[in-house]
Amino acid sequence: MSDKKNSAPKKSRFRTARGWVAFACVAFVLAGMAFRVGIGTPSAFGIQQISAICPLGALETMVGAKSVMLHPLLLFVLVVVLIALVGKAFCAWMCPVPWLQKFFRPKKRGAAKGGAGHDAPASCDDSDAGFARAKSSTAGVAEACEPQIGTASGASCQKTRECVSVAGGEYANDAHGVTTATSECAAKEPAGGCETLPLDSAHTRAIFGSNNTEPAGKQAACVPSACAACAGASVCAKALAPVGGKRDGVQLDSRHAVLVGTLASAAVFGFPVFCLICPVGLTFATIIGLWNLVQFNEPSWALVIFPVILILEVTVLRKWCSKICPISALVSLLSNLNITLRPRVKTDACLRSRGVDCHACVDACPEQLDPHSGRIPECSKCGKCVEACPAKAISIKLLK
Amino acid sequence: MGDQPSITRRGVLVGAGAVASMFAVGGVAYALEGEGRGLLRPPGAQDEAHFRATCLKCNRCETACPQRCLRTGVLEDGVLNWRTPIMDFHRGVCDFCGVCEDVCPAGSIAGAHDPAQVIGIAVVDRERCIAWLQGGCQVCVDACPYGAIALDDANRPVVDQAKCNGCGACENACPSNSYLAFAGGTDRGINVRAAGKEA
Repeated sequence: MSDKKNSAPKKSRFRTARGWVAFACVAFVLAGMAFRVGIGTPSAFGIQQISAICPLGALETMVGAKSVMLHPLLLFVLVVVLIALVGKAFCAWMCPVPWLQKFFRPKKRGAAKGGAGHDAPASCDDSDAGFARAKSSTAGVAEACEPQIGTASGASCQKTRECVSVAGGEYANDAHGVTTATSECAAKEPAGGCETLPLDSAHTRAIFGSNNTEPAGKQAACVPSACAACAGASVCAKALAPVGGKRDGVQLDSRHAVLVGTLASAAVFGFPVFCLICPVGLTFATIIGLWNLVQFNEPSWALVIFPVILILEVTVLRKWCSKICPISALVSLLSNLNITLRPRVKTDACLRSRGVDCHACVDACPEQLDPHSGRIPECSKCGKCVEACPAKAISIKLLK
Repeated sequence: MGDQPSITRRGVLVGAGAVASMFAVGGVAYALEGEGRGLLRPPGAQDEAHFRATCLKCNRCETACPQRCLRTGVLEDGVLNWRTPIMDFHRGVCDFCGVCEDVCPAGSIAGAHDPAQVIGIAVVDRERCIAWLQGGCQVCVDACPYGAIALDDANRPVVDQAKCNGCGACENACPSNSYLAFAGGTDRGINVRAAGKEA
């Protein structure tokens, strides 16, 4: 846990850590099979009588068997306690789906709609792409993009993006060493669009990255009246209210309908139906199939059919994580209990407190949350906001 | 959408579609399953309805079994039994150590410590049993820890069904068809069958 608490945002440190945890899960499963210790799979990782049972599976079995058994019930309570401690961390740290999505659905620039779940949004406010662009562009140039102007889709938004930057500004050489270049951007018309298209700050989504090793980092700042800013006038001088994430607060959405359907189908048919198509289960079933192929020379349909179902689930059902997954639904309900290991924003360090309309954290969040808001049970502790923050104002803290 | 967390029309459609597909999957799997397939389950998991309802397919019992006599179900065992634990006495013999019950997180296995549990009943295949074909073999009789196999007047093995709990020691030891794979499948001279499937 200590590596989660350190606030120094070395780049993609969290991603590396997540990769290792995912790797460890697979290694545990393989070790369990190789050394005959029965560690199990994420459906129930454990040692002897204790295991971290899949909470959805536990509910399904109780509903399916129409009885409450002591052992599964105790394990379920254990998992509820775990979720209260780490929230939805399973989604970013253990679940194989985000990795499969990344592998089978490489990021498309300018795709019309943002991806769901842990896939970085693929629309023009794609934070990673924003970083890449900012890095490769000339120092001091930030890009901002307005996806909602007119009927422009993400793709056209990219094509028509034009940015005019104003270097310097009041925030150069601030206390944190983040050199700021304010920039204004107007979409649609090439050069000069800024003059004719005032931006609505409520709609503007600025993208920026920062690079403290360069003399001039890149920042985008939004100014309520764009045209004035184009002339180099000023940026907003007082603290800005939090942007707010689309999925802040307690969420009740289609996932929860699927959750009810999962339990209802288990009750009707008398077996856990969702387990047949669960991408977590199928991923590890594929690994077990591979193991049996090597160990017992036992080729099986599992090696063909499970990957096909998995690929369908991550390519066709693109918004699996945020719209369908009943595990996510259940864990998010339970993570309302979670108050630990949350991203916290140092208010005085946050650029918004100085009037810079930065929303790097919100843009980076795969769960579409704003770490500034008090209640984000959907947070999967992935650390992307920590790494995206140009002012290093965000850290994941054990308590407060 | 904005900051409204409420379910949108689109959300309702997505949810309804997903739930409908889940019921379709469940219905198809249920229809394909048909009546009992006579799969050999771990000791104490013979109530197939309860087992089916509770098994999470977590793979713990298969990998924990010290005797290695549990295999992971494949598609040929039925869609519902895919990934579930099935006894395989070609790999090992059940000694009722109860580890499978200990590691099971879902309460699918109850009473695996007790050799009085009946996994199945050993059945001699008279067309494969060496003693029945040509005589001279009594490996299974010697292997049975429960004295459930006796030799008849012609020195051929006969199973006492009242004493047999289906531990698989006889099947595991049977030399008939052990080293061969032929079109007749992998059955040996004596095989454990699920109760009610002895024929």
